Amino acid sequence: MAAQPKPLPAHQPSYLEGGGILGWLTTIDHKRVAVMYLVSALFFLALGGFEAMAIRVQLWRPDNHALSAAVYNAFFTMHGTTMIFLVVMPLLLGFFGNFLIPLQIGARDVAFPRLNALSFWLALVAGILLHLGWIRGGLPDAGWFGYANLTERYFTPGLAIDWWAIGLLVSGTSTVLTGLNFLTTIVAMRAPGMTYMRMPMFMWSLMVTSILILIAFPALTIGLIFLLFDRFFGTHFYVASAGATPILWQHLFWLFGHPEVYIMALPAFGIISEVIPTFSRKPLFGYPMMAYSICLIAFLSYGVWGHHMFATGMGPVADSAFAITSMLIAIPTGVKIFSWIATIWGGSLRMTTAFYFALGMILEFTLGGLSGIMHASAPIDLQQTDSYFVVAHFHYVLFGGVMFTIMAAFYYWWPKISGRMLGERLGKWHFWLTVIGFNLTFFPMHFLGMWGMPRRTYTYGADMGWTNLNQLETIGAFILAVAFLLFYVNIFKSLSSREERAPADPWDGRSLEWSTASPPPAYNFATIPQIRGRDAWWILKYGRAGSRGVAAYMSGQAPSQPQPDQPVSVEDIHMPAPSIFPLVLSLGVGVIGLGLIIDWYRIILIGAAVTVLSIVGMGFEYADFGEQSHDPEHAPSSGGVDVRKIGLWSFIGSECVFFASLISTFIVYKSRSLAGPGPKILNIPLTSFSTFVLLMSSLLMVLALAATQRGDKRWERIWLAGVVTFGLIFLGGQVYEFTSFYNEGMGLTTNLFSQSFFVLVGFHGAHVAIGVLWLSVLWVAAMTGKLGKSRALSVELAGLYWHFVDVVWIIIFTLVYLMQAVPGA
Amino acid sequence: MDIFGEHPSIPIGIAILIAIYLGACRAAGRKPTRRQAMWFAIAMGAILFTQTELDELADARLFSMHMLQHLMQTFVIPPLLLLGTPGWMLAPWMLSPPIKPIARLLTNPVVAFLIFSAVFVTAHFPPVFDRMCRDENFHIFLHLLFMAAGMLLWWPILSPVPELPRLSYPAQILYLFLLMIPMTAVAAPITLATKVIYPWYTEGAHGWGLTAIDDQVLGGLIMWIGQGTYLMIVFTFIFYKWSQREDRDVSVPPEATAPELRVLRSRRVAGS
Amino acid sequence: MSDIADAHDGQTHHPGAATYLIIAAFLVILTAMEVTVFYVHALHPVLVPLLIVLAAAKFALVVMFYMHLKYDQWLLTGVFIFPLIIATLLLVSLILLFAYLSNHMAPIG
Repeated sequence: MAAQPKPLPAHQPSYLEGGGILGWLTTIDHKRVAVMYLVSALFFLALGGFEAMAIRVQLWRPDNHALSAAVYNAFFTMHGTTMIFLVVMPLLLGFFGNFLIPLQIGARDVAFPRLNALSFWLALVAGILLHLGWIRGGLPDAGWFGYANLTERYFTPGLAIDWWAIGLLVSGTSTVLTGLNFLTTIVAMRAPGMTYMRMPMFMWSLMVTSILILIAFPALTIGLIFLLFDRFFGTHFYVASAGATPILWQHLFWLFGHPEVYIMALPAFGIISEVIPTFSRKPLFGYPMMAYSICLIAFLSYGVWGHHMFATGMGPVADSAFAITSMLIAIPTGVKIFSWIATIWGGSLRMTTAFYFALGMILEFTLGGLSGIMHASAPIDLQQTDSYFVVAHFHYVLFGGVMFTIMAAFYYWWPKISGRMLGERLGKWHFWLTVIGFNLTFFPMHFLGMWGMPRRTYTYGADMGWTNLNQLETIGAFILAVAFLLFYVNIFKSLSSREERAPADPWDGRSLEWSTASPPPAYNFATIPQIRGRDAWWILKYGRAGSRGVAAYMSGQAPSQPQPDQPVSVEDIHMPAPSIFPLVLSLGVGVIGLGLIIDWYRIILIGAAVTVLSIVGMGFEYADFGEQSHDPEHAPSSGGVDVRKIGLWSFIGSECVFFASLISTFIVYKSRSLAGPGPKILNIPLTSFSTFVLLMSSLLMVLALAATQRGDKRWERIWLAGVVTFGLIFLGGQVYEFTSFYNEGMGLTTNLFSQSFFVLVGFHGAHVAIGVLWLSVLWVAAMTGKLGKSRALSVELAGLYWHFVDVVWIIIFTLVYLMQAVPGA
Repeated sequence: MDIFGEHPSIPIGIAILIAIYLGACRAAGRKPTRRQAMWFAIAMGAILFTQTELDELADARLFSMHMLQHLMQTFVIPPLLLLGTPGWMLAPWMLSPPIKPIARLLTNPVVAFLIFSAVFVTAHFPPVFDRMCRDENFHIFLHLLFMAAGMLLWWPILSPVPELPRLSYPAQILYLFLLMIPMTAVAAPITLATKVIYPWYTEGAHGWGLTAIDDQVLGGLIMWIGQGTYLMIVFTFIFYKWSQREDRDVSVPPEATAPELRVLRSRRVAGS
Repeated sequence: MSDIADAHDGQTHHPGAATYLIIAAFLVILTAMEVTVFYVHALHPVLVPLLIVLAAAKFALVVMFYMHLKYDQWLLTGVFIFPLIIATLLLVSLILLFAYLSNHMAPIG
């Protein structure tokens, strides 16, 4: 900070200004990416809402045929898929998360801005792929959970499920990238002085959510990959007649699916924990308790997936275990609710629309939580499962808990995001109509469920006695639609109004985002703030006493004029350059998906070419950005580790779950084949040799890294060439192994053993191949003298990946090859 | 309760422990703090309870009570002993030249963790476990081994000797979290087994009118859920200590970067 | 833990070639032991625990030394170990759940 302070220009250009269309397409500014998420999510919200209305219209009277059964199936499937993957997650993570993470932790951007843009474009491509069924092949219609074996080609021919599976695969990839980006950002980029215990609670929740994403999504990816193998290549991962069990899909799906509920709920908890203290003018009650309960919920959420599967007959012990963990999760959740209430208690409340929605959330979410505890009990759940009671429950959680929160967040942060206030009057109307419409729509579902109305059926008989409540619900749904319309109008009005811009700190906020302009400049903060405690901005404004209680404020102590930004010079701030590659890469991925589905290999080739070229292009851009992120000033809380290393390790952590899912499937299926070869076919001498080769390649890899680190260019080249060679020998061994199996009559689709073996070992082989490619590029760089000591990190990163692939092989060699005689599960 | 009845080694062992504790106080000329003395007394009580009351139930072929006994020996008694022992009592001999390198190695978190896991997993392996049930001396040896391995396990969490330091708080949580792997590896197969794994339990009548298989499921659940809940409570305590430390109002010196601050903090943990 | 404090000065001290070679020797020996266990019939009653211990040892060696987790900040260890624990628990629980399923399911075909 030795530079002479220069005065800031009177008008700081906001992030929204300048650049034109191309500027938006190539942007990697986290705030612009967030706004693009917002636009796409608002579009899909309208679409998902339309589907919901169509469902309610169809259920208006008994024996209605406004929609055919097929269209009804497609609508409830797409309603669920759209709302979860294209609306709620993009809004909570993509929009609010993206916009606020750097602002709340005092950073200029996320750790990997280009990856961030890539996440958005991939999410958009996923949304488009999911909806291309409108044009060709029909909409997906197997439910958002896509239970096997309904999704098999035998039961659902046509393209609909292909669109669904590939769309979700792309969406999952985008979310995992977001997760590792957010995790790295929050861990490494917090402003000096912001310890974990001083982070805003929203940051806590997003950090934990990111971890959940990293460990939950791989299970979905594996489930979808099996499904696609079944549909495209004729394997039988979910086909009971081949000895497999469709229950495998349910396990994999809910292993993802239940954490997914908390991936949506935890950010909501975080937002509420921001809104309530601001409008109560009190610090959050029991901050450490709140942070801890977030961690506990996240951990427990990974051990409760079975409560979605009580009806499948897992046995009394497993049922009890899942019931206990599911009930336990109510404890930390209850802690949060009481903490919010205690925060409100005795505060000086300002009844803004945002606060209304936050209060609404506490009430409605508690109702959803109560019915959730009922489901945790296996015997009760058996009565309620697949009835409208469940529909009521999860709408109370996801609409009452999450959608109310999103609305609170809109009213709270919209001034910061757009520079304009949302109308409070219209907002109150919006709130009350939402409350009335929501409860009218979903509360009667509890009764309908108890009376036996099954979910997902497209109509019902007049003699069932369900007509009146259904009509009430449809009326409620229309009121809800009006409420949403008011919301859109409010946004439109605020954007088109000519009134004055919103002040920087309209709500007398507590966290750092309120210290910068509304809307913020592209670089967020002219100088990175120093953090002296929780509620960093409040302390800057009122001193430490203010953060300890409302007393100091209420005693009439006049707020001192805060001096947020002591500007150095805005010209000294270098933001990373925009890039077109995230967009192009996503288009390439989309085209590959398209080609796969309509089975046109030329299109696949074009898409693959675009994808590979843009990855290479990104690689060449990378050098500049890598140096920038290495600058310790840009990652003040990283402890000196480069952010790319943290990112890669989080990715490796995620890969652990990926391979664990594959390996457990192999062990479950290996001795369930009905005919054909079994594990005894595996060739131990050959794979022992392969293992040796891979271990030695790891040795060469560390030697190469050591050579690079001491600046020894000659040995760097030799060792790198060695690693590549050994990798190729390993791959050659695998090709030989696969070919000999094929010649012995064991193909991919021969039986359960062969398919799970080929997919597991094949995916590992693919990882080896990617590693070989990566290292070859490094070797070329070394040969042209571009590597050297200053680029040691590039070698280290490639090495970490390579060793991980080696480590996975150590496990596969043991569990698959050496334990071949051990019977599977 | 006849404490001198079948196993005179228990009261004698406890008496020796107390004698050593008091002798060490006298030798050092210092007194333990009131809190340390209290923890030590509780530890002695826990040992007495575990080795008399629980032991009798376990000998009545109650597998579940036997599992509870093992949990007490590995998860309850060692932390109590560590809390009850002042650092100055251990430091002189643990840091003496011939012992220090060994102590350093054994209390290294990775080594301690591996030793404990190996002991715990091996002891529940059917042939070993069955021999333990039949051979009283071997049984006593294993129980002592459990407590010793438990001391190692809990050392990185509760070390009273700053030179053989504790882990930082987040690392402590991770360390105990990792413990779920060996514990689940033992508890889950026992809980979910459809047959009685250890033959000794089928060879006689059970207390409390339980069948051998029900007793086994109960024992597995005590080990699985009991252990998990216990660790969850421990996590809560550690998290609170962490949050207290992080929340302390340390104003940031303007030049200080995050890495330097972290060194300061991890030293403070080591010294506390 | 002293090496935690050391690692926090921002510099990571990676070991030299000698350490790497010793680790490689251990890895080869452990692999040889694994293959031996596979071929010696007398050891088959304890095949599973033996192999798991040996594989875990190899895993730990590579991760700690070649991937430098022993020398790097524990933050990286945390980011890796937590998902690893979850992955292991997932593996164990899926196998047990399906073992139960196949014990209580009518045979197919």
